[in-house]
Amino acid sequence: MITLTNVSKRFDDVWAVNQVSLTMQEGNVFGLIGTNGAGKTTLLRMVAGIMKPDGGHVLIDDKPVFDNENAIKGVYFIPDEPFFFRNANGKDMEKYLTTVYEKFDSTLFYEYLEKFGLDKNRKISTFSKGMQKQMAIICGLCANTKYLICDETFDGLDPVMRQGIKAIFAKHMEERGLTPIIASHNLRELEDICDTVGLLHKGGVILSKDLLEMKCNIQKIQCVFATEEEENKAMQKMAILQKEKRGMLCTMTARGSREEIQTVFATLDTVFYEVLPLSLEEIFISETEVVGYDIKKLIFS
Amino acid sequence: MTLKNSFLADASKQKQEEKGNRRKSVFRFDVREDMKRRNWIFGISFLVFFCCFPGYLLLRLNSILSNYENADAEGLLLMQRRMDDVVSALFHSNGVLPVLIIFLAVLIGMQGFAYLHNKKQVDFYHSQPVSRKRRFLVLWFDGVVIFVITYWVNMLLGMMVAAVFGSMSGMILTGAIKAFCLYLLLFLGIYHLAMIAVLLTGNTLVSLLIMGLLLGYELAARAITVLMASSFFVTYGSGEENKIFDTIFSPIVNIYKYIILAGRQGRYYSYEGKIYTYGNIAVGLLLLAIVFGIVSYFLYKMRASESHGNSISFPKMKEILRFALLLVFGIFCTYAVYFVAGESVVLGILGAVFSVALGHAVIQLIYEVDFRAIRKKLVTAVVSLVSVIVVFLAFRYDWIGYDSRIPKQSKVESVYVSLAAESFGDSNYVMQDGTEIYRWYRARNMEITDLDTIYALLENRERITRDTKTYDRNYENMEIKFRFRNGKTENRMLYINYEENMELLNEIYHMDAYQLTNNQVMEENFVNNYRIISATYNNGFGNVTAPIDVDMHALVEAYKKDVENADYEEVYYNYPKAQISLLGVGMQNEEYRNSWNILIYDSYKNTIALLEKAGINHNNVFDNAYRNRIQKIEIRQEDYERLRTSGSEMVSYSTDEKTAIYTNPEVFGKILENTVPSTNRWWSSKSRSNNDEYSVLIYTPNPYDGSDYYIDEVYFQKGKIPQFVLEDLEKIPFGEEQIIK
Repeated sequence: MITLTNVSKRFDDVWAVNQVSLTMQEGNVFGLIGTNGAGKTTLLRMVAGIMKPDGGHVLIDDKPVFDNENAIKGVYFIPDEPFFFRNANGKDMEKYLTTVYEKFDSTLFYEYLEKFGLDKNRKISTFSKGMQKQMAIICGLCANTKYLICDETFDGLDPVMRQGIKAIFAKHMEERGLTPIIASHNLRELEDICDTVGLLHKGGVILSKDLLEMKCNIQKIQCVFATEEEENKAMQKMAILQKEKRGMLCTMTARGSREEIQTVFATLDTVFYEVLPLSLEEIFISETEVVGYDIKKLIFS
Repeated sequence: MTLKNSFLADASKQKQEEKGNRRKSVFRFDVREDMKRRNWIFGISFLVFFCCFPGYLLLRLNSILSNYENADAEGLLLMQRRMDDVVSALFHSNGVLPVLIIFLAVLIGMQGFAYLHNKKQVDFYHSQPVSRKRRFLVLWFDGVVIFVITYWVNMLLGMMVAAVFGSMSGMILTGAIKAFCLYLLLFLGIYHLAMIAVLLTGNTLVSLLIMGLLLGYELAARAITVLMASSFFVTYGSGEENKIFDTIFSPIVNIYKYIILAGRQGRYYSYEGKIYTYGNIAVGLLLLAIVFGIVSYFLYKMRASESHGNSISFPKMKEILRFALLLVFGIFCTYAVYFVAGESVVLGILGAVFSVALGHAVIQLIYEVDFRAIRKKLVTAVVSLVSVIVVFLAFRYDWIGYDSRIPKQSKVESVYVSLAAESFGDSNYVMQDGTEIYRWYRARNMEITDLDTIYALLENRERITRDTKTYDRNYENMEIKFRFRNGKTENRMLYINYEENMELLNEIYHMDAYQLTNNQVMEENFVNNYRIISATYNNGFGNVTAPIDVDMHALVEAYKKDVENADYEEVYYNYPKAQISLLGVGMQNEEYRNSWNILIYDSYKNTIALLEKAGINHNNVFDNAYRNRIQKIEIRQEDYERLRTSGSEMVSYSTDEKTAIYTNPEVFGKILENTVPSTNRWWSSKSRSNNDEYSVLIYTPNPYDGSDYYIDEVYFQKGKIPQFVLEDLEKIPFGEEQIIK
């Protein structure tokens, strides 16, 4: 488990990360989302042990991470712009990483290179940006670390490759308990892979929750009430986060499980009602509005 | 296979895998992998040493060989000696090699840690499960390995080349290993400094600037301090200037002390009396290497990964560096402007303002790479400016009272003094092992502990300041070196009215501590350490030199007795009558030949008696034989225009001169008896000629072939210019010459 407690980092007079507390559970995919400059990369670099926080603590499996070989050996960091040695090819990287990561899986490395169609003898500098990203991901996966930190890793990958890599992530999670931590500014990209999501804005965490829990506990309801009195009853019986009415059609976002919502509606006189699941985007809009942010401005503007 | 066996097999396999993995992570694998990234540096280092050792030797020795192609046996011997010299110089005291080592140390140090300036590389390396300590050691070790391997391989190749030419010996090998040890320490010192430069900064350009700063700042600060002190303090002793090179943090100065040491095949002496040996130079370099290494390690541990791209990686260092740079730069510019502007304090201060502003602007541009940033961080610039002005004025007006105070007697252990007209013997000294001491023998050896007499004299010193008018003075300089109980020293130039303090001066003159170290011939064991093989007499007139055919031991003893019986008064008021040059060899090693010069005064009865016994009558300088050989005497007077300024005396020399030529033998004696030969005229103080505008040229036939004139240049003694000469010259306009019959 990775625990961040009141972690802060300042560059000159700007707090890039300010009093952030987060928990990243083992075996889950943690998604870190936020606008450009929200502090995602800084936060991940602190988690990877590259930077020392100015305040607070970053613990990996209860061990402080900065300059601690024992803690960092469980982490592999894939930055947004991966580095490869000048003139190095796949084989060179494999040889180097073998000396650094105790459990580096060379067999798997060459297997992946073949599957991804990357020539092990070709200079990495001659690869396209996407291919370089693939190479970085392969290196990261084969390092066999418990945690794999990906900073904007899926950017630059084509949709097919993205899905393929997500599948490989899932395989590693299942087989050896890999915990990916993925930062992105793209909510839709993380929706189908993340278990937990943390939203960063201006260096602070707006919210950090289990995605399934969020999805199960928030519903979108479209309905037409028979009378206005019934509508008021519904409002009193449910925790409504958002409500919009167009003519007779009422669209609401409310907390509670699907069953709980259905039980409430069973007692109400409605012409029509339907309980729908929310997309991650919609959940975030609702949740962040509750804590006083206009998510549309934060993420989608 | 049973379930249990299956588990055991799995456990064993896992154990083996773990063992294998651990093996892979050991230090040497890290070193090998890092070395792969540094092969180009290895190549450069190899090339440099290849050119320096086998390449250079092959070309140089071959060139010598070709010069002696048809040489006879003697020529071949000379050739071999030249080859040996080349080989010895290359491996022992090579002045170029340290420069190349410094270059390589900077290159290797910077390249090894340059990844810190690149975000991608920092992310890559610092996210790996490698502690900073381990990574530091790997990078450091690889750099040292590159140096050592390339040096040794090429040194051995060079030795093979030397061996082929027959110039290799065990002594060369030993010397080369000794030199390598020092060069390794030099490399480490500079290498660590280069690492510090990289660690303190966020980009390569600033690293190079900081490297220059680290290497040169102390030397520059010392130089500017000495420059200011010697310019503004009138009692600042000349020996203090050598303290520029008594650096604490400069491996470069240390290594050049070694080169001088190796070049002299012995010990290197500084004015300060410190004996530099291989051992203490090595210890000095080692300490520097250790200190710089520890500093670089902690900087590496403390350096924030996000510092890449910044000019300075430790923000708090920025203002300290700015202040340090502006201070030295500002003081130097202020000093330069002050003197260029004719010692104008106002213009000097304007120079300070301009230079600090300029320095601040350049530093801000380096720090921020933004012209608009020049307006920022002005507080440090203002503090620096105030400091520059205060320091400058403190020197200019001696606010610390340097000239008005002397060290407290209670803190002083011993002193060295150099009395006027007594520095004659301060040259040509040798140690028993043949090591030459060019100038500073007396300063190093004289330890007068009777401080009451010295301080009684110092109490009577003239209180001269920079603004005291220095012409028409009735005092003379006395160089003094205070040795303090804490081991430090201070050299001062004090001003004494010699005539009024003759009693005290005589007391000092007769102190054993003074006599035994004022002239090496006076040393107690001189005759035991050296065998005088010949002595030559010279009175300075008519190129008279004569071998002295007496027992040399007796001559030295007679001279010693005469010096002991003489008074300083005689030395001070009178010219010596002659010089004797003694040529001797070391008792331990006859290869070392050295000469000593001693002065003979009128009261030196024992020496004079021995000279007379050898047929040399020093009173018979102007004997008829010499006088009869004189063909003419020219007396030249130059037109001196003396300009006096407020602080110093300046003399401008006019090209105009007038000449009176005397051809009448009757006046030759009247002229000559008032003169002193140029060789002796400095070795008296009170009677020293102040009439430098008059010179007397004596024309005699060339003693070697008689074909042409031989000219002796002599000077009039003070106040002893014959009246008829003055009258004759008065009649001659400048720019003309006239024959006086």
